[in-house]
Amino acid sequence: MPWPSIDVPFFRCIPWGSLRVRLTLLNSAAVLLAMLILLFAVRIGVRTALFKETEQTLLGEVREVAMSLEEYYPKSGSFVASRDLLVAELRRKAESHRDRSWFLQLLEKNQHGTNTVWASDNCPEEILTEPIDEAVTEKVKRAAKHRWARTFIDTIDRQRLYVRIGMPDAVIEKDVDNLTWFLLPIGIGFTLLTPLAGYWLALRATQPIAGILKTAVKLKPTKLGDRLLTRGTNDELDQLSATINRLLDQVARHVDRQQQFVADAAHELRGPLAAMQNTLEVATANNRSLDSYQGTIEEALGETRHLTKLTNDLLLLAEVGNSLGSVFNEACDLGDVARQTAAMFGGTAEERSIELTIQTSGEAIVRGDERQLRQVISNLVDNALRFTPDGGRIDLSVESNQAAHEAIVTVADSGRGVEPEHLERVFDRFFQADAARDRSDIKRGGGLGLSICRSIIERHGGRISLDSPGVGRGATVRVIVPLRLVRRKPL
Amino acid sequence: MHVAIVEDDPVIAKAVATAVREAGHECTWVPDGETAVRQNTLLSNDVVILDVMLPKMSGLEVLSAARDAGVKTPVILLTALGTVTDKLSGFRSGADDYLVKPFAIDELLARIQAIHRRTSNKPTMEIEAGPLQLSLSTKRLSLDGRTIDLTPTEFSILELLMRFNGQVVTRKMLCEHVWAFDWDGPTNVIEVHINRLRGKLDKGRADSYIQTIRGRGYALAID
Repeated sequence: MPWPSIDVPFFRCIPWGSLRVRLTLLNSAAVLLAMLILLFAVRIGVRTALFKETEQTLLGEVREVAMSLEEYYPKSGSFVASRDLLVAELRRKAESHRDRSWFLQLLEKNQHGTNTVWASDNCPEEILTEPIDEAVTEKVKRAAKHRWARTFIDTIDRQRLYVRIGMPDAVIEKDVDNLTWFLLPIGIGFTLLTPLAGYWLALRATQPIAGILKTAVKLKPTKLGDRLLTRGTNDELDQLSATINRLLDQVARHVDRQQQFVADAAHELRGPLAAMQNTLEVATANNRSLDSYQGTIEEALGETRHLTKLTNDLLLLAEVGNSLGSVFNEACDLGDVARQTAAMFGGTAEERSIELTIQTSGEAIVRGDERQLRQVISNLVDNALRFTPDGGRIDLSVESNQAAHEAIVTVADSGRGVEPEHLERVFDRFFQADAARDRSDIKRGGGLGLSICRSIIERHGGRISLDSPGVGRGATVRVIVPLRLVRRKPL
Repeated sequence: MHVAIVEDDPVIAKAVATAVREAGHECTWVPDGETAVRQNTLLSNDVVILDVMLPKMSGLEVLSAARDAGVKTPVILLTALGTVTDKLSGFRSGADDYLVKPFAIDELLARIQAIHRRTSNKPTMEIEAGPLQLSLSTKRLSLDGRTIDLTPTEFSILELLMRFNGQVVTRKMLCEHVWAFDWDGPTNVIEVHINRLRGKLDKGRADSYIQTIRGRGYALAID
């Protein structure tokens, strides 16, 4: 059988998922539970105290009656008269405690057994016939929802008289019920008040969050200028706002850089495209010789190759950028990489009388992508070759600094160097020191070589820097990559 | 040799087909994956050039289906996706080679030939081209019977040129072959070695055995 679903508009319009409502509900539940436990404890405590108090009173009363018995009982005068006096005393007592439903009973024991001499008219039947327990002297007895105290006195004529004074439990239960009825409205009041107070508190606590939410809703990828307000309290919510603001700053900077990059890339692609378009347009405008066409096509091909190189570099940058933070598992010996690179460029350097030396010291084994690291060192040596005049020198060195856990690769050339004002920007994408581009193949880089190097090295957790004492005095690129951590084998 | 190109871009398909025919092979153009499967292109050709991004049915699906059916025809994948993962998934589908667009036609032709030779003949330890004889086991070159000393780099370059005698070999292919690294930067690291090779091979000749094909690479042209 399906549960009857509560489908009242009131329930539907409460946002059950909201933090405010949930906080309120949790608060209310906690307060209600505490209150219920408290009320229950009070009730039990009061009830126990009342019963104990009553029992003490009953014991006191029977002690008083016992003293009366001793006083009234015939030490002089007639027995019957004395008994009447005793009964009158008991009656008085019964009358004065009638509103508390006290009952009294006088019993005697003779050779025929026990029989009631007198009992108050409110004495319940069960108690009237209750046999006397000889073992108990001064103690409160409980039975049949009543409790009573009992005492006795032995008379001169060897009779034993008993007196019982008791009351029904119902009297005290009624008192406790009264208390309950008094406390219940207070409880209900709290029950109604708690959610309201809880809601108010939750509202106060979540108000800054609502503020954050309001600003966050307005944020758009195209409009990243807005920032969350911090109230200067430096509490958790303020810290959250500050953290989100810092993230927004980073995102904004990243988006800016990305947009700049796309614009630069498009601009960079325009050059070869324009060259190609114009060359082809002019070639088809008139009838030309076969040689002329051949030349045009070769020029266009050259531009296409440049475009291909540019596109591949851009993709490599994107690929390296996307995999930032990835972990490399392969070990790569930078010394080997440097030797391979030196071997590859050795012939060209020799041809141009450039002395290309290589020096390696220590094991420079790092974790990384060998192909990418080879790309870095090749780019650096290629750069050095392009900017070093014939007869110069290029020194390639690989060291390992075990203390700092770093491998250091330096490529130092005696080339034309870098202007001090350009040092900052050499790793920027598309930065080229000479504004006028040399279209000949040998000098023409994509402008991405060094920024690819930086991306790859940063991806490997390292850093790269370029130093130059000035124009015409050479340049040194230093690459630092953390060494592979080798777990020491126990001896 | 029968070559098929499965490619949806008609300009690329036409260029490739023309180049393959001019290299002396037959070439058919299949415009999409479904047609390739229907016509059993992979079964009826010696080498298949397969574009990965095809309409209706991707190149990888065509390839997997054929490999599952036990067709072992060598396949060269063409794609604009060049990351390591893309290449790996291509090889996992059963490709024999992988070329990233844009590519040099000469490289494609060389790979067609290499792949065909790999699957049809046993590798030889001797390569011959006219008067040139290259022994891969002894690393020795003889020209008209006399031994010529070559550096390991020169030997390696000449080996590739002789394997593809009559075809253009790009600088990138040579770099890959000699230094196991596809250097594509501004500095031409091959040229100096080519010039030295010429110095050793072309003594007393008017024109060189090794031709420079401007903007494309180098070619050995010995009948």
